[in-house]
Amino acid sequence: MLEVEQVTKRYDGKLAVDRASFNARPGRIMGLLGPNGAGKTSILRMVNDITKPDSGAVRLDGRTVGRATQAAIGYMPEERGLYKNVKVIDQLVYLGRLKGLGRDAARRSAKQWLDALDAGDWHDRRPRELSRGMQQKVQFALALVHSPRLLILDEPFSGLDPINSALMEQVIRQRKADGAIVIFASHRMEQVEGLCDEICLIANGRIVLDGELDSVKRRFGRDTVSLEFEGDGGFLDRLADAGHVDVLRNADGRAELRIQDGYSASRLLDAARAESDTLHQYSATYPTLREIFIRVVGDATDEGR
Amino acid sequence: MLLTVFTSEYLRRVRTKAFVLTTLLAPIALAGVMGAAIAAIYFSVESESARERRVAVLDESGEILPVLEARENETYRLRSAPNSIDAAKQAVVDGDVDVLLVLPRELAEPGGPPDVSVYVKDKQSITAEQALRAFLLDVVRDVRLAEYELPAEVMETVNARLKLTTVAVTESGAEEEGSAAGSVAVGLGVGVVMLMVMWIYGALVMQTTMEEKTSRMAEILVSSVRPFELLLGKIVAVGGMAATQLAVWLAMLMAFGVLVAGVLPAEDLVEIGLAAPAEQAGGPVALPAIRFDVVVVVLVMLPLGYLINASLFGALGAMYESPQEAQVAVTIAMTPMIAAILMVQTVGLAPNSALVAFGSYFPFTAPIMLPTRMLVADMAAWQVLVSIVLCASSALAIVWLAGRVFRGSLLIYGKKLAPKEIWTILRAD
Repeated sequence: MLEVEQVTKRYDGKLAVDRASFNARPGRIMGLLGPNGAGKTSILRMVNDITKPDSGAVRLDGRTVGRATQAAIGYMPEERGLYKNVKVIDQLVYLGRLKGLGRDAARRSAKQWLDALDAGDWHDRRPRELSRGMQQKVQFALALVHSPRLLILDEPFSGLDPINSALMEQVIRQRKADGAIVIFASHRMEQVEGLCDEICLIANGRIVLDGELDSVKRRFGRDTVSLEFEGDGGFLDRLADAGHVDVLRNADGRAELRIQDGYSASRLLDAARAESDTLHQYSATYPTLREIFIRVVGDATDEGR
Repeated sequence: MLLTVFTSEYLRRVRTKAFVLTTLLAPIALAGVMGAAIAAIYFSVESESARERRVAVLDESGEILPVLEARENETYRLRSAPNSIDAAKQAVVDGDVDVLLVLPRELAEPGGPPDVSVYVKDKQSITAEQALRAFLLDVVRDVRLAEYELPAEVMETVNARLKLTTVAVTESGAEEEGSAAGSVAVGLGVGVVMLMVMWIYGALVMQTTMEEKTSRMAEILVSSVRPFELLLGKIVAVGGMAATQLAVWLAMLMAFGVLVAGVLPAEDLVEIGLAAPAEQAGGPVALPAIRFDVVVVVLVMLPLGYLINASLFGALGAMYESPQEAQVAVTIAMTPMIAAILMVQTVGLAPNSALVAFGSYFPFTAPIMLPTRMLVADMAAWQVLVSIVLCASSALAIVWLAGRVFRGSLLIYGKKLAPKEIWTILRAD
């Protein structure tokens, strides 16, 4: 288990991470979410023991992170890096060796991961000859080469086409099934929603929300309603003006609303039936992660001001 | 871990085509350039000295020209110039003669002013001027002395040539042939080679660090290996590459020497300047014999100097994102070594002056200055040892400090690091 406990980090006197605590467990995927500059990378660097926290502790399987734990971590930073002129296989073997594998084991493992990522033909290619998407896969293989106990992926899907995204997602799920701890940092909510078991929301260096994805959603209640109807939908604006709902989306006969305090889902249903020509669908659901994110981080940002 | 960084970096460098090509071709190219230069000098000197120079002499006293003509020489074809100076000059302009010598009447008189006017169409080369001066001097002296009607033995004494052999006496009692000038020349040559090694390979450490920083490989690497090990592994790998390259070059040089010595007879070597003629071994400035203690000191100081410079360069590579940005800092970092090269030249003048003594102990200049000072001055073993120990301990301290700067600045992008920030990085834990 990865334990981040009351970790604080300052750069030039500016607070980058403020008493952050969370756990990530084996066989689970944890999403570390937050806008750019929220402190995600700062936290990940401390987990990787690239920088040290000013206070607090980071432990992997009970051991304070350091040289020994580095070998158990695979890290794909947001800023991708490859040697432009070194053969793909040599880069993978080098990193595997730095992570403690023997020469042969590193070579075997590198080939195996390249094959798994549908990149088996690229052994002798150099990154400058590869497209961005291909480089991205090599980068991913670089994090996987020593089959790490803790896999940390910072914005892993950025720049990938859907087919390769799906392939990468499949590999991530496989690592999870194999019992690895997976941390997935992103500001793209829809990807996290489909993949993560747990989430941890960060804003301004502080963790504003964390827990199992389902329970986090439940905490926000079924206050989100999606509608499909025919008609001009003008009634929605009237409801919003009256302060009964928040219109999150409204276009082409589809709308997503948030019910405000003092109003109810059933009253909204009545209004929708009365005001639209035909009501095709009505459902009260949990808010999307994106919605939760905006609500929580929006609040946190306000608080920050 | 350190070993992995070293092996990977070393092999990655040594296995490239560029490395193989530069290692094999650089000496050939260098030999070609030097050979061409030597040949150019040799042939131009040859042609100039081979050509007879037509010299018109306007001898106002009428005493000197006959003596000049009586002297045996292969270079000058002398003739009397027309009595009018203008006509004589015109002959130079027209190219009828190469040189016009105007010897005033007083020149032949003892104590007369030593002024001689030389008219030429194009300015003469320095060697031609010196040869002419020496030729004239002998004759004028003889003419002036002739007035005193000195006995032949006295004339012989006056005209005797001297041969200087400098022998340095050391405390140990050993006598050493060689002059300070020769020692300084050797020291300077060794110093320049050391400077180039430290500079070129140090800059390579900077380049590879910068490459990892800008390609963002750095973050992945430091999540796997201590920055200090990364830096040291890199420095040692580039050093190993340098050693490989230098060893190959040395082997090529020796093979070439053996080949030349085997193919060409010794007289030819003397003639083309690759060997000194037996009777005047050492040439105009006597070169010192090879001193093994100095060779050992060079072999110790070169790696230490490289370590100091490569560490500085490595830290700079972590601080800057392009060589242009790093330029000022690189210049500052190299200043002590360049100053050392300049100071080496003063070693011959005052081998025990405060400046030279300081330079041979100061870790940034010692690698270059110590060997030269050893050649010129009689340094005690403990002095040499102190210099080496100072340099070695400074090298360790600098590697350590550079490692901290490296770690602290490698992942900082788009920001100029002011001295204050470097200080913060150095103090950070």
